Formats: sequence, structure tokens, C-alpha cells
Amino acid sequence: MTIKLRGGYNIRMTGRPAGRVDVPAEPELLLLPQRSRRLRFNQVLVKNGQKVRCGDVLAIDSAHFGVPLLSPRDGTIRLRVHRGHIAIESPAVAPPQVPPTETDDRSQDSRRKALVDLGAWPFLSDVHTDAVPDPAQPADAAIVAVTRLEPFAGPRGDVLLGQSFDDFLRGLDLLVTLVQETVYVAVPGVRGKLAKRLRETLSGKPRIRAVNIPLRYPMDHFSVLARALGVAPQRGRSIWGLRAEGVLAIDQALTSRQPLLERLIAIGGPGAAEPVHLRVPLGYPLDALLAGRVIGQPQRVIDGGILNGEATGPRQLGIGVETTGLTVLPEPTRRELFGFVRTGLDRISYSNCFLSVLRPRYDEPLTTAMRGEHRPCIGCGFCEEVCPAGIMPHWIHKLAYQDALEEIDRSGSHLCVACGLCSYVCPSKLDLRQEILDANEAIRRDLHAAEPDENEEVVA
Amino acid sequence: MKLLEMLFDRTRPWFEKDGRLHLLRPLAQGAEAFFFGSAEQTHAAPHARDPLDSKRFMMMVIIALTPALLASIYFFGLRVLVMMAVSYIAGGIVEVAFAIIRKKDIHEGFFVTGFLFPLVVPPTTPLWVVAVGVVFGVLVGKEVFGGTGRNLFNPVLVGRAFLAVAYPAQVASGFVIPGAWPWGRLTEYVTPGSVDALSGATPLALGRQGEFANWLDMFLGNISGSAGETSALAILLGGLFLCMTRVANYRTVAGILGAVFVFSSLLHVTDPARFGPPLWHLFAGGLFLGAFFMATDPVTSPATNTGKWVYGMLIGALVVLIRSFSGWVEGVMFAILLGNLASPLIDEIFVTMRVRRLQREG
Repeated sequence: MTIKLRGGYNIRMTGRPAGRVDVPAEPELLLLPQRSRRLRFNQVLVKNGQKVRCGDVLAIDSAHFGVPLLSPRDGTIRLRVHRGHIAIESPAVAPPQVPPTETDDRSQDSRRKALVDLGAWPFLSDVHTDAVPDPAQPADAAIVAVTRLEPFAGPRGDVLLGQSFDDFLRGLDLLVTLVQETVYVAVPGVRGKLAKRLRETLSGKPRIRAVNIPLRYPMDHFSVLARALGVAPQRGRSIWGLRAEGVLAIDQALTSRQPLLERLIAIGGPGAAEPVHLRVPLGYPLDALLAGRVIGQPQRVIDGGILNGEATGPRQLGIGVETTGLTVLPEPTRRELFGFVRTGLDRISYSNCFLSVLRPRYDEPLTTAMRGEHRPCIGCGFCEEVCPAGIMPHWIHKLAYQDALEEIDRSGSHLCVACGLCSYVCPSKLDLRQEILDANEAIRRDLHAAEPDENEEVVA
Repeated sequence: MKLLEMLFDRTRPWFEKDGRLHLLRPLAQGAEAFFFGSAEQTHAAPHARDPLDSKRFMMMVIIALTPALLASIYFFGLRVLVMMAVSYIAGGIVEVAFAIIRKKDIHEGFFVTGFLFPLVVPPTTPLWVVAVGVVFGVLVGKEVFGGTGRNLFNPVLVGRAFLAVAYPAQVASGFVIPGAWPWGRLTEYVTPGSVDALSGATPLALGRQGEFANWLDMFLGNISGSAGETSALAILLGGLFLCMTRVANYRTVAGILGAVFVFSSLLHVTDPARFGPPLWHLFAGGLFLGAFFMATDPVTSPATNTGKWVYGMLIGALVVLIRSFSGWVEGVMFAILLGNLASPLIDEIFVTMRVRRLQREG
């Protein structure tokens, strides 16, 4: 099945992670961030100096259904030394304790509980809101995105599948047992051997539907896929979104009943000395991990990809539970004289304003440079063309300038998937992505909070 | 180059908030942006950005206008370069003054305005008239609306319209008979005083008397007219380049030229003696220059792609109407200004339709 998708654009950047998977040396210290993209492990259950075993619960996120932070190694706890992190000194590899088998292992409820307890839950998200799904509620449907198209937000789908194709299929079968209706699997519509094999294997399976998607960012985004598949958000319906590593996590948690204490991450970007994949325990310190793996110049290390990731810094010193990849982006070191009249053979643009359009396909070493001055919107329309949600960022920008929240709400700003392409292509260097997110936040706060809830009205 | 970079780094504090020369910050910022571009870095996602900036965007327009400028020099002599210098200096003073008053950066849009303005006036327009026109265009057409990006009308055409209304005699008498093969007027400097070259009636004016010029001369530019508008060939070269770089939207151009072709064909069929043939309409006057370089100004045209088609067709229809049925022989300037006026309305209609569709989709 092929679905209709609009917008999107591929940013061609050097430093695509190679297919190789390296296992770095065991670290001398683990630094587990208490905060990740969605989770906050604010309820710490261990004490300073306490000895912990591999797989012990260190902290839980009380706001997100008690999702646990598990200890990836044996070792001694050190709190309050590294702000916002739980440190484990002299970590040692040990076989994790296998939790006792539940009596009612067949039930969906206990399987979902196992996913939470074994650390597989952070791999799941609600396709429409990106929120952590409620483990108490069964999933109605699920969307699996095999590829990851943001450069270079995480491990390549072909690397994950190439390593553990059978585990993936087993995980998919387990996922079907957890979902009431259909599991959609988005497979890139390419001719590769692996994609062909996956499509053939999936075609016969009941309740699994393979969907071909173009290899164009952000067509792997769950809410873009959900909208194209006609899976509309509905009160009381839970639809999971997960990636290839999420399916593998389900397999590990439910087949071998092992906690998920390691991550397969990608390290890439123009600043990476050798872009590869790495298998590391949670909490692996970033400075130890990056030593020798980045080229020597000021760098920005991003947890995730260049379009959606967050710069690591003092707030994140180690691999977190939601870390899927690190992108190393150099800071600009030199400025060109008369950059705007140069041929531009070395720069790739969404527009065709540089001579690079005459060159065969190549990748560009991008930096963190803004590459231009902030200017008022000139109405070029590029943001509208790349938008995968079909909304008009320039129009919302204009309305935001007038503080017209009601009109922004009416122009479909809630459909924004925060892919970041509008900000990327804008020649006036407007931060459209952030403007739309801020407007949506203000709408939630000011407009919708004032409205009475639908159910309340019925009661009154 | 290192030295220049050091100079900017060293002097930057002078122009900062508490510096001695804070008032002149727009000038210093403009100079630095001109030489080196922004030193700014992204602070959040997306962490990298596309290389296109507004300087490059405007640069593309100037590159695309170069063939038209060269054609103008060939047919009408070197005076156009002097007019351009006057246009840049007079308009530049207004632009810089407003940047300093507003404490904002100097915007690159002016480089296009200053380049385009001398091309839309007759080749021997008195220099003070050029200066008055460009100052009026920048001031009333752009700055009073809040500067580049906020203007409703194309500043070049506002200035040109002002001249047409306020100084009709100076503008109408400035036309020049084009230079002849092979050297044209490449080495000449035609002044308002050189009588032999003057008073070449434009094809549109001759058309009123039922005299339709040869379309090949019109295509090459071997006709009388405003300095940069006569050579359809040169404008086409630059205009196609501009559409290919996506700086000009082809929808607007196709809408205008298509509508002019269709409407003028219809009129020509009804009365060939009175209404010019479609090709004559296409190559006459400022239609090509207006369609490729002025109607496509993204700020003053509709933002939606469907809106651009409608906007283009509206302008095309107006051009034929004004040329055929009004007291003015040329209608492109007023047609585009009217199109500018309609473009917020056109946007409103198509955005509303788009929003309804989005709401249906969920």
C-alpha cells in the first residue's frame, strides 16, 4: 500500500553513520541523566553511597506512570555531585536479576506492566501527541516506522534490521498481541534487499499492514503517518508509535525477559571523526564517549538530530533513556569575504540560488552558523512548500505578530509536527518552528483552558 | 581579509548599546553583513540552517536584471549608468536614514529597488526627476508601511506612478530612438538636449494610431521605451533564470503573460485594425519587465500559490483593458499596483479555503 504524503525535504549533511556497530570500553563512571526529552526521574529511590545491582530501580518518573530508571551496572551510587544526574561509581558488568515470572503472563495488562518494569516503555509514544502512553490502557493500533530520516537522530533502520531481523519479526508478532486492531509498518519504498525481504515477510501476516513511504524527511514522523493513514486522534483511543528499536525492545523484554540497560546509538554529523553506531550502557559519560570520536574544533553535541534534537551541555552528561543518537555539529570557525556573491558550489540550498545545483549529489559539512541576518518575512513561500502538515508557517507568523491567537488556532497550527523544516529553509532566518510551538502553547493556556470541557457541558 | 575581520571585531563595541557611535549601528552592521555576513549561531533546533539568506535572494534579482541593463546601455547609451548611480544615492540616503531612526538593520531589498528604478523611466529623464521618483517610491511605497517585508505596493512602481502623475512632461519627452546595428549607442551619452536622438514614440503610442511595430524589433529591444524595458529577449533571459532559482514564482509570470495573450487575442479577432495582435501586446512596453521582475516581488504578491495564479491573471487582464480602453497607452504599472492592492484579498480567500480543507482533514 502506498499513501499520499506532501512536503518534506532531505537535508544532505556529511557524517552519515556507517553500518558498523562498535562497543566502546566499559566506562569508569556512569552518569544517568534524570531528565530526558519527555521523562523526569524526579523520585529518587536510592541513597548516596548505596550499593546497587544491575537492573535495580534507581528512580521513577511519578508524573509518567512510574516509569523506572534502571541501574545498568552493579556499583555505588553517588548523588548530588553531578547536578541532575545519578552517578554510579566503579560500575561492573553483572548478569541482571531476572524478575520472577508473573502468574498471568498471557494477559495484555501484565505484558504492558513488564514493558514498564523492564525499561522498554520509553520507546513508545502516542502518535498524535508524542506523549508517553498510559500503561493501564490497551493500545488500539500501532504505527511502526522502520527508518529514521532526520539526520542523524538515531540508528539506521537497515543497521538494526540487518543485525536482528528475526528478533524484529518476533517483536512485531508480540506487538500485534498487545494491540487491539492493526499494526501499520512504514517501510521505505526502496528496492533494497532488506526492504524487499521485510515487505515479503509482512505481506502474509494478519493484522499487520506494510505501508511504503518515500525516503524523504519527515515522512517517518508518527503524526504525519497517522494523518496519511487516516488514523485520526480520538478521545479514549490510544495509538502507539514506535521505531525499529522499540520493536526490538519489546522482543527483549517479553521474550528473554531481560531489562533494557543498553542502547544502540548512532554518532554522526560533520564533526564526528568516524560516524558509526555504538552499543553503550545507559549513563555512558558523553565526554568519555566523544574522546577521540570528534574532530578537533569547537563542537555542538546534539542529543538527537539537527532538526529536533537538543544540545547537550551541563544538563546532560551521559546517555539518557531516550537518547537514540548523537549529532556532532561544528561551530563555524571562519567567515567568508563577500559570501553572498560566491558561486556557492559548496553549499546545498532548498532554493536553486547556488551553483551547487549543477553538481551531482553530494553532502555538505553543515555548521551551527545562522548563515544570514534576521529579516522580516518576504513571503517567498518556501516554508509552505516544505511543510509536511500542509499548514502555512508564514501565515501563522503574520498572525503571531498580531497576537491573533484565535485565528492561529483556526489556521491549523495544531497540525504542526515540529519537524523544523520551515525554520531551516527560511531565507529571513525566522524561527518559525518555535513560533508555532509557542503559539500552540499559548492557545492551550489562554483559549482552551477558558472553554468548558465538553463533558462538563453535558452534565450542566 | 584577516585585517578587515579584525577591524570589525575591534570596532564592534563602539556601536553596541552603550557605545559612542550607537546611533550609526545600522551602518556598521550593514557594512559587516556586506563583507562577511552574519556571525550569529543557531541557539536551538533546528541547529543548522539553509545557506540562502536575504542578501543572496536579492543578489539573484540583480544578476537576473543584468542582461536588461546591458541591453539598455546598448540601445540608449551610457546615461542609464548615471541614472542608476543617482537612484542608488538618493534612495540609499532615505533607506539609511530610516534604518538609523528605527534602530533597525539596513535591508537588502533596497538594492533591487535602486537597480530597477532607472530601468523603468525613459532614458533621458532629468536626473533630479529620477531622484525625486526613487525617494518618493522608497519613502511612501515602503518606509511608511514599516520597511521591507511590510509594504503593500511595489516601491519602484509607486515612484514611477508618482512621476507619471506629477511630472508628465519631463517623463513623456524623455524617450530615445534606439541605437542602430552594430554598435548601438554603446559609447554615447544621450542627454535631454541632444535633439536628434529624442522623441522616439513608443510602439504603444504608435499603436493608438493603428501602427503596430514589427514584433522582431520589439523582441530584440530595437524600439523606443523606458530604459530597461524594451528588450524582451534580455528580460526573458534574466527572468527565466530568476524563475529557475525559485526567487520569482513562475505562477505569477505565467498568469500574467497567459492572460495578456488570451485577452488580447480575443480583442484582436474582433477588430484587428484597432486592437494590436497578441505578440505585439506581449513584447510592447513594460510587460515583460513588470511580469518577471515587479509582479513577482514576493512581498507585494499573494503568499499562496493558487493566489499567485489569480493575481497574475488579474494583472494580465488589467494590462489589456487599460491599454485598449483608457487614456493611458501603457497599463502595466497601474495593473501591477492594482494587483498589489488586491493581493491581501486574494490571500484571504485562498487561505480561508485552505483552512477549511485543513479543518475537514482534522
